[in-house]
Amino acid sequence: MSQNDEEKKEEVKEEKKEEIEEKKFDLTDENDFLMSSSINEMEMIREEIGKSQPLVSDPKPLEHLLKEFNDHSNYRRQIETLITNKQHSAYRQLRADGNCFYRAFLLGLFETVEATKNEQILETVTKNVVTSNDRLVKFGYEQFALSEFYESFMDELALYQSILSSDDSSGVNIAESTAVQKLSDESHVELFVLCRSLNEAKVFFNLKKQSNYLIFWARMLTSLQMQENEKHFSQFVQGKTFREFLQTDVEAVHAEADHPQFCALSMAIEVPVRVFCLENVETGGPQVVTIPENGQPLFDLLYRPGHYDILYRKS
Amino acid sequence: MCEQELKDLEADPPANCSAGPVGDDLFKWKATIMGPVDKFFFYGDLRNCAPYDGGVFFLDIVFPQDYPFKPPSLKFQTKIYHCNVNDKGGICLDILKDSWSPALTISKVLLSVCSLLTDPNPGMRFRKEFFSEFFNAIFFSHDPLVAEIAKQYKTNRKEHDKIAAEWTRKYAT
Repeated sequence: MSQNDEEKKEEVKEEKKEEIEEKKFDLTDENDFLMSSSINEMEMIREEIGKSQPLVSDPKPLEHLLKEFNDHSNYRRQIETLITNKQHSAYRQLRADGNCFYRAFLLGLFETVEATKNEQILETVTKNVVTSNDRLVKFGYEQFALSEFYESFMDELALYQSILSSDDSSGVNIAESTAVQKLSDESHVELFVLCRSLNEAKVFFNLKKQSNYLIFWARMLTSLQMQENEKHFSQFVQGKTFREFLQTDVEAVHAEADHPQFCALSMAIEVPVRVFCLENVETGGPQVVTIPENGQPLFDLLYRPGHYDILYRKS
Repeated sequence: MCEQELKDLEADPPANCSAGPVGDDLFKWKATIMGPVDKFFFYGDLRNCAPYDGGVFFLDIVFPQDYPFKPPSLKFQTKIYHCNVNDKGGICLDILKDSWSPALTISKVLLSVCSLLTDPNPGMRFRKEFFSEFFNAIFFSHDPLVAEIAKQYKTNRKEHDKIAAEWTRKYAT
């Protein structure tokens, strides 16, 4: 009897298991489809944006901004204020691919170095970046995973250093030759040299492959600054742990930056920046914020909810 | 980059995992994960918390051309009863999708998959106290891939673990 009972139980179990298996199969097809489609959709959207918009646009007159906000009187009013204030001559539009803040920040920085030939800026940035790799390793990151990005960033700083330290006429050539030496095993040398001979940071930041290395290191600098000042930055984190926040909102490839990331990067390399914020408010604006508060801003960015562009001051 | 990954894995292999290229193609790897043994007793019953114990699970890893800017794709080749793994072996783990970062390595990804086996994500918060902050950080708050198993995990954990253990015996040993 007891043996029979056990057999019956086994049968029932088997049936149940099969039932569950069947249900699982029904569901998973749909789920699999959903999962893969949502990833592909995001990719497709990014590609679509890529086709219609360059990573970095040419400088445009501020009046062009009005066209972007045709139906939004709150924004138009603030743009008109910007125009009548006559502090800025142009703006440069960046692609909204999640990297716009980091691209705007780095491009703004390197263009400022190019324009002002201010070695002090470069020295300060270099001083802060040179130790960053070792400091990150202390937080548990793998040296081998980081080194390529770190070296790209250091190379870029060294390149500008060599441009500045040589006189104007030969500067570009020296920069070119060092670039060729450093990248002689890369397939993109020709493109790289081309953009260097034009000596425009803008062209460089329009090259997705190369600029991605610098942008990722900017993310790591941001993350490092936050980890070294966890007490301060953890107050901005809600609904997830601090580590989760760093993974999903700072280090992830397409994670958009917000105010905390802005402050962290600005502090990390000691580059003060001024932001003109277009917001959906009835009166006033644009709000002007200097990060960090007491700094002498080196360049200006234009913020609208979810996006950053570069603003050019009138010389 | 894949070569450096390989060197790192050889120099410092993570516990309970191994991985390496299948043939000459450095972009296609195979990995094995040993079913984790939970260190904690669950209502005094150790077996109930470790339904994958004793199993050896094989995974395929494919590195995309623009690795490390795009995540590697991981798939279970061994059948596994788990609410975050579908019948095709697809894994629902946010670091393999939108939260991917080039600072992550295959070693860290495999450890996250191990953690997912110890602590499935049926759509609720984890028992965080069991893990280091780092690994908690890299998988969270995603919907489970197999809703039915997730529901069972939440409402009838005993039955879930029993079936999972049966599958482990049947397919992974």
